[in-house]
Amino acid sequence: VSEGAKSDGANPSPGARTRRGAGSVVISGASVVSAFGRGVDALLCATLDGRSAFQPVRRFDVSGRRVGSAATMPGSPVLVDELVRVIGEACDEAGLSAAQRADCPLFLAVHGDPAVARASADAHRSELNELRELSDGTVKRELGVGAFANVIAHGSGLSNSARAYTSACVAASTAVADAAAMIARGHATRVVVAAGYLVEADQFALFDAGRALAVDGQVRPFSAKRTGLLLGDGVCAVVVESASACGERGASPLVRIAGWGRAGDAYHVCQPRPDGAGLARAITAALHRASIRPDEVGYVNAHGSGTKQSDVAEAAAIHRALGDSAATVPVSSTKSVHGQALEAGALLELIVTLSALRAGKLPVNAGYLGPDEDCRLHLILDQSVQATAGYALSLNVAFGGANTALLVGAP
Amino acid sequence: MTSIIDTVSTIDTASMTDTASLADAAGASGLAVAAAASWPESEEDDVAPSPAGFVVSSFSPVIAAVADRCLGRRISAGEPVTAVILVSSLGDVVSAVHVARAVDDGKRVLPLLFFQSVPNAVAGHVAAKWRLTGPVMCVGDVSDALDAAALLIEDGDADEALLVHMEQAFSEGTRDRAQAVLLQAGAQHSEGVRP
Repeated sequence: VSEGAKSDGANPSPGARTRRGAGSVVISGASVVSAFGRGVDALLCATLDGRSAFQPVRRFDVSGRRVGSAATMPGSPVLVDELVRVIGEACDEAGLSAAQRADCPLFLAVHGDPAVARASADAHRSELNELRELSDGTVKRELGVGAFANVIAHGSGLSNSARAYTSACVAASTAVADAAAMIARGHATRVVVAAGYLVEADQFALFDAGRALAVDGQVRPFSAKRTGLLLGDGVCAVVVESASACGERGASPLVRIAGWGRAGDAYHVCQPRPDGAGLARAITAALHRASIRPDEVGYVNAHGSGTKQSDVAEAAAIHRALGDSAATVPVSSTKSVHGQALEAGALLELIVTLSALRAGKLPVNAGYLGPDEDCRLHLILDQSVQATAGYALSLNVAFGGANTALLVGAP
Repeated sequence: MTSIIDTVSTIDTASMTDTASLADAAGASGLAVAAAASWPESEEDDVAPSPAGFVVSSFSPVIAAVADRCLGRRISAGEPVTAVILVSSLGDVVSAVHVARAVDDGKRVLPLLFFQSVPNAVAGHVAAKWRLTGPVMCVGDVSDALDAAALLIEDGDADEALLVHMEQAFSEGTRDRAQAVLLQAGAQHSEGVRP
């Protein structure tokens, strides 16, 4: 625990509204692999160009499905291997030593333990099961998402206090918000947040059966004639730490996590609250923590799934939270380019958002066919635009009425 | 390949944290338990009724039932912002195995399974029924959930948190077990938040 953070975390009154500014939390390393290959630059370039990666799925059989497209990288990458790789790259960029990594907890956002659904009877008969994990060998572990997270932490040289988040499309943003809050309140100095989803047959079949996938093979957020979402690969990691710890190491932060907020709709199992009130409360909480006004937000990376109801509710939330600024703040959903990475989506999009802010250019809302009067937003169309303000919001929503807002700013 | 639900499970539901030890652990995280419930609590707790739209698996019905039981026991005071935190190591195993089999056998996947494909779904059911407007989150471990609850309350996005721990039983003769606790800030300040 850093000394500065210790003094910052003194005895709030229990249960009271005790949000506070969070100028002390930064991201010092980030890495990603997506349908555009390895690295943040390849992903950022595609989102700035509005160049989508959707193509016919070859990783598994989709012949019985209504829709056969997704944004996938070539071949059949292994989730464990990709997670360990991006965590290593993010820690390298942050300049963390082996000792610093060994002290650092992992917050991992994933759908669950990928071994559970097809584990053999033999594998379940003993408490420690031999399961193929890292591609360089077989390790023994228990079944369960926490045990899976521990495998990733162990393979990455991180501490043995891994935590698994499984809350669908807000899993990763919830992990980032928890990491930031812990650091801001002096409960931790540094947390690695990682997330991974690689398009696979089971979730694809579920989304196809639920008629959630875009039948025209493109994701068109906030657009007329949008037909749904498409899945996409995303495995990514960031190093979240206190600004003072980052500075003491002589490292340069990529971006500051200026604010965060989460709130629930209390509305429905899977439909968003139409007036966007829950997401609006999450946005307002993030702005409040950063002590900034709505007109200081220069970009919104929207959840923008490309589904009818969700896009309308999100547009309502942006207007509700940002007021008059909602008409002018540039908005795009980069899911139109890289697809929906489920539990990893929020971290993938946070990395796009912070990279765009650093590049001074804002990504395109691709696939746009024309206005939807229920989604009146200042969308970035056709080509990227220059960033003119220092703060950017990354929004995410999920089944169960879960809403998150992460606010990043120049360090 | 024989799957998990055909065999004797290594998941010992009897060793799962019971409500009393959950309350103790909550206290260690600086939290007070305002209401608590278990599933089962009697021989009558056999099959939990399925909320509309939930099929195939007992995972969501048992969570809904134990959450209802817990929240029905709370003493209402004001309109607190209540978070919903679900905890499960294996998640909805029965649904996951059902989908995997259908995919592997080239069979049709039931459309309704899409809506229960993530634990958030039943959290949304509980939140809507009881008007819980706080954050919704799902984690794999009870101690992580307690820490998350303490942090949400300390950080101000919730006044209290409903924590539900659910693991499905697979072997014959055993039952699904779940615990629910409504957590509020305790008398002592949360010093135990990990890591």
